[in-house]
Amino acid sequence: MDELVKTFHIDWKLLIAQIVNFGIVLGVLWYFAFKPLMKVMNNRTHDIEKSLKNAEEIEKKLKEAETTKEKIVLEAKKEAQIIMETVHKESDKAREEKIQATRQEVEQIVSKTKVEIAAEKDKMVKEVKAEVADLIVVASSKILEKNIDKESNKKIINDTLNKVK
Amino acid sequence: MRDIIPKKYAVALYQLIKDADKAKSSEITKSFVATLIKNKDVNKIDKIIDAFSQYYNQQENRIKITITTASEITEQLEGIESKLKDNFGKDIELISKVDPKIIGGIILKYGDNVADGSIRRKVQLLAKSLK
Repeated sequence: MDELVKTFHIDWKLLIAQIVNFGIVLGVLWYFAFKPLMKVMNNRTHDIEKSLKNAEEIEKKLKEAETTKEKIVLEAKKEAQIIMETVHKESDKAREEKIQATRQEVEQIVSKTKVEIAAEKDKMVKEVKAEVADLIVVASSKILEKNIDKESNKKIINDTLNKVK
Repeated sequence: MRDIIPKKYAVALYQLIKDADKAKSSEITKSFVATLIKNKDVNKIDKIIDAFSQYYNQQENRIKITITTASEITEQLEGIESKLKDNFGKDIELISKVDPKIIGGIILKYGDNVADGSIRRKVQLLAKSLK
C-alpha cells in the first residue's frame, strides 16, 4: 500500500478534498443538469408514447370509420337496389295497368263500334225491307185491282163467310 | 126533368110498337118524336135509333151485319144473307156498302166484331210479314 502511495504520489488529503469537490460538482450537476434533463427526457418519452398511442388510436378509429363507411355504403347500395327494384316493379305494374286499361278501352270501342255497325245494318235492312214491302203492296194492289176475276173474288168472299160464326 | 138515356127511350119505343100494326106504329112513332121534342131530347135521336136497332135485333133474335165489298154484288147478296143466317142461327139485317179501296173480298162488321177478308187486308198482312 505504501509502495503504491509512493509510486503514484498519492496525497490523502488532496485526494479526499478532490473526492469532496467531485462529490459537490456531481451534486450540483445532478440537481441543476441531470435532474431537469431527466425530467425533460421523461416528459418527452411520455409525449412520444402518448403520440404513438394516439396515432394507434387514430389508426384504429380510421379503420373503424373505414369499416363503418363500407358498411354504410353497402347498406346504401342494398337500399338503392331495393328502391330500384321497387321502382322497376311499380313501373312495370303501372305500365301493365296502362296497357290493360288501353286494351279494355280498345275492346270497348271495338265492341261499341260492332254494335253500332250491326244496329246500322239492321236499320238499313229494315228500311230496305219496308221499302220493298211497300213497293210490293203498291204493285200487288195495282195488279189485283185490274186482274181479280169474279170467280176468285167470290171464292175469297165465301172463304170469309165460312169463318164467321 | 130527369135525364132519360137513349137505351130507355129505345126500350120504351120497342114495347109500344112490338105488337102494333103498320098504321099504329106510324102513330106511335109520331107521338114518340113529339115526346122527344117535349123533353128536349131530339139531339139524342141518332143514339136512340142505334139503341132501338140493337134492342130490336136482340129481342127479335136478329143480328145486324154490315158487309163491305169492292164492287156491287147484288146477285150474291141473297146467298150471303142465307149463309150468314145459317152460321149465326139468327135472322140477318144485312147492310151492304161498296169501297173500291179494299180491292176485293169482303169485310163483315157485327156488334163489336170485324171479320176482314178483304184483299187489301191480305196485302197488308203480306207487307207486314215482309218487314
